[in-house]
Amino acid sequence: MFRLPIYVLIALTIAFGGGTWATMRILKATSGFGAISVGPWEAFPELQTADADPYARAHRADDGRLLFGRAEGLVFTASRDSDGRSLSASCVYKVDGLTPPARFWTFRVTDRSGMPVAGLPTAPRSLQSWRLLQDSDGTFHATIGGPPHPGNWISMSGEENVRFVLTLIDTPTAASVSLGEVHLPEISRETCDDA
Amino acid sequence: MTRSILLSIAIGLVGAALLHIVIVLSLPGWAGRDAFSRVAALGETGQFYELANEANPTGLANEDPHIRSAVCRFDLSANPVRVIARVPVPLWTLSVFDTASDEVYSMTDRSAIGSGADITLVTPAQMLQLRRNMPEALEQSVLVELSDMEGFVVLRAVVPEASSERTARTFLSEAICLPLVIG
Repeated sequence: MFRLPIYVLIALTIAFGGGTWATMRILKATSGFGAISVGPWEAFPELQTADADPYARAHRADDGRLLFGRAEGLVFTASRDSDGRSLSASCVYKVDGLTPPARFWTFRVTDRSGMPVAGLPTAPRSLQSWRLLQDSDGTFHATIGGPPHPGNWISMSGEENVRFVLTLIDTPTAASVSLGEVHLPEISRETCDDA
Repeated sequence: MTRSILLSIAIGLVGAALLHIVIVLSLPGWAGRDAFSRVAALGETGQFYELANEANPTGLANEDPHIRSAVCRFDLSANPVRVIARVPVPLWTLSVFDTASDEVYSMTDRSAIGSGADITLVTPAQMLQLRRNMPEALEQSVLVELSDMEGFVVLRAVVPEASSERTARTFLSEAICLPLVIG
């Protein structure tokens, strides 16, 4: 006799609790379906446009960032290395390769929510293409994390999972249809400070 | 008994799926923290607000250490709005978003006429009026026709080195975003 209210309560709890929780988690985790992926890197060239899918729009509205317009640039993020392991601030990574053509690009490290990750004080925390050591064929090699390193190096410290963010400014990449031709750097894990 | 529990769980899951769809579809309308709402919270229309480099309560900041940005909210219902930024910087970009924070126009310094940014945002009706009698001052300006009355402009300049911070800040602080009264 008193069972029916309990069943109704179970159904309502799952519907409202589960529905809200799952939706919020999904919206935090994804920026929608319009991703282009190259190795560990992904970008959402249509996230800021009216063509974005409903998930992308909901994510964008909840996030409230000022996104780059199509002509302005494109942001690639990586949360895993080239072997598929999550990027951690306690590891040292090598980033090697080519970037897509762009007039200017920056490379930085953020946490999962997009906030900058603390590095050693006075140490570089970002790279930019106008002051970068490159090989004669345009490839670059950078060390991320660990003690100061000759060449391109940025500092990163902590234990948390991080993201690498590559921002290309004034690039034809967003418009390029043949994304198979886009080259992005490889991310390989060197050592990890597990202590 | 077990069947009834399973049934109520199943009904709960269907309800959760429905709620999920409703939330995803309606969130852009009532989030209240989307880009346009945050820009509107900065202040009045007709001026650029430079963003701070650190995270702050406005929710808008320069996330990239090498890019500085400023935003200006506009309202075209009375007059067109002209955006001018002329201080030379190595690279600037600009984009226009509507109230849904959808991109409606974007450009870089390469696609600009002459040096510096000079664009005029107009409604289709104002465009017709301007076509009939184009003021001389607007001949160098890029005319951008918008279907929405309101929106915001984001202007960005790059700061490759700390020494270029001042130039980029001057570029942004001297940028204007004012209604253009057609005489």
